[in-house]
Amino acid sequence: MTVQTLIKDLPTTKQEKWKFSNLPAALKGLELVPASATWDMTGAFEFLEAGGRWPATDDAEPSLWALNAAYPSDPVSIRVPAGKHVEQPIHLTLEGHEGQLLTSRLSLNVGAGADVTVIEHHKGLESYWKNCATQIEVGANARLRHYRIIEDDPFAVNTQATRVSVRRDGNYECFTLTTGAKFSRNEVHARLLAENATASLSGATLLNGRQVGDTTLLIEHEAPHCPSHQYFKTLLDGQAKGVFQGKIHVHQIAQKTDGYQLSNNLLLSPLAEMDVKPELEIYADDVKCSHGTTTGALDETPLFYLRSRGVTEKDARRLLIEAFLGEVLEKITRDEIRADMEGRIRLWLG
Amino acid sequence: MLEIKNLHVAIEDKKILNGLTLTINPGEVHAIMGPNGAGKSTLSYVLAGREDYEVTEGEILLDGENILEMEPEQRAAAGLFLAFQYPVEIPGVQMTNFLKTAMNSIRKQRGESEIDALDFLKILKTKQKALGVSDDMLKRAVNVGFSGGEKKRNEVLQMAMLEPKMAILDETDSGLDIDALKIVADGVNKLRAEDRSFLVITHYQRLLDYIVPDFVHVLAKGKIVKSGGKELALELEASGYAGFVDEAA
Repeated sequence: MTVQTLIKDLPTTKQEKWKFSNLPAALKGLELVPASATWDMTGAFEFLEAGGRWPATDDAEPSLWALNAAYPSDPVSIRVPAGKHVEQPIHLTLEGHEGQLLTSRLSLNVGAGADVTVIEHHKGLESYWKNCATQIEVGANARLRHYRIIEDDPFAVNTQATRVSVRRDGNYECFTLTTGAKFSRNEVHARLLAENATASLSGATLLNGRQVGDTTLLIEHEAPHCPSHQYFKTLLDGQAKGVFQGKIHVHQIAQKTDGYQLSNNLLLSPLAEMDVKPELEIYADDVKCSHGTTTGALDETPLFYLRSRGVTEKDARRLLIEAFLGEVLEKITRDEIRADMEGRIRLWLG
Repeated sequence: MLEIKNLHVAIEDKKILNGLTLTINPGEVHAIMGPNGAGKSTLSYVLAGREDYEVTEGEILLDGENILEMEPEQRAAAGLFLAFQYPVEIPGVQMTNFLKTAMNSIRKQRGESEIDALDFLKILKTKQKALGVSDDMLKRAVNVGFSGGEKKRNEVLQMAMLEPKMAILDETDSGLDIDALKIVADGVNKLRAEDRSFLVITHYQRLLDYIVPDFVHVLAKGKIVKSGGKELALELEASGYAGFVDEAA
């Protein structure tokens, strides 16, 4: 069946939140059959919980979250009890196969004072569409490190809607590496509910060919004294297209907010395209919020400097690209995972 | 060592160098002095191989080989080095890694094997000490957060590590206080050798008190208008460039 037969209300570029990314166009021509999303899990067994609740959608217009309800699969629910420190990362892998429409529902609940790392790995073969909804609760003084690797097939579509809430002194760290899928959208909506709740959203997107990669973030400061960071880097080659939409919404109560957003994008080809929309919406009067964005080709001056020291043009470019991406990898606070991401990036760079 | 013959250079149709001729023999130190806009920096960039400069006439030979046909990295491998007037910051590339990459790239182009990691550190340790380059500087990204003096010392450190046979110093003295100037000059003097030549480009005579040249040339309006011994620098200091600028016109 065509996607249009399966699903009526796809988000379109007429919607403000979707003006840069054309999901219906990406899905056009795909013949899909709904299939149940089965996560391959390591280290999760003792935390699995049956019959997790799933909230009804409240979105006014077509959204990924709403689409997820069309062919829902049973939620996978992982609950880490209060105070539990889980040393080994939990690995979750979702593989897509030709012709599948996978609707995943994943719930991560980290109890007060608990500490856990979750690595989500997306891969697959040929054309399919994964539409994943993830709801995350980080309890008081708890810590969740959430790493997502999008390495789907270059014919596949991967859309992610992630909703996060962080309680007092809780810390949510999320890093997303995207190299796969012909079209991907990584939506994160994080709510900081009580004082000193922290969200750090970062990622690197590396695309070539005609790939499209969209990162759309919303952080809501709903309490005073909360820091939040958004730091994303995009590297585009060929005719690839990157999108970054980042919004910081500071509610009236959220005094002393410290919000920070940065999007740096490097175009390796004159045909690559980057669309950036930073947004600040601030209703409190005593806050610190900053945003910045840069998009451009590799700077010729450092390139010449390196070459004048004997480094070949190819190596100099490579060195500068790795340096560009290296800054954002610093956001990953687990060394072995940073090293793993570095390895994947090196592999991609060839 | 280096022969520049009737060099004409333009940027976007604007003529900068108009028939510059200069020969530097092995072991010699030549100074080029001149007013702003004389073409000093253009000369250094053209020697190092920066794009955006169009050589319309003339040639540059290094040991008899025309370097105008070479890429910047090939010139470096052939033994040419430019100490930049404005050293470039490279965020994310750590100093030690940069120095090692540069050294090995040159060795590779020359068909030599990579340097042993321990040997590299040993050489680096000796040279950094002599130039007052701290360990902390080597841990930082290339030129990022360096003071003006640190950047210039870093240029001389790179020169000391890469051991070129033809080194060009482009206004290495600009922005340095007298102590920093002495350290930099001392570093250069240590590298003076029978088989190594220097081209020192400067606006001020002061540097030449510390790096004493064999020859001094005055560059004005894109060509050398006067050459002489080191005493020419003193003459320039006293009389200024005004007379030479008129002569060239």
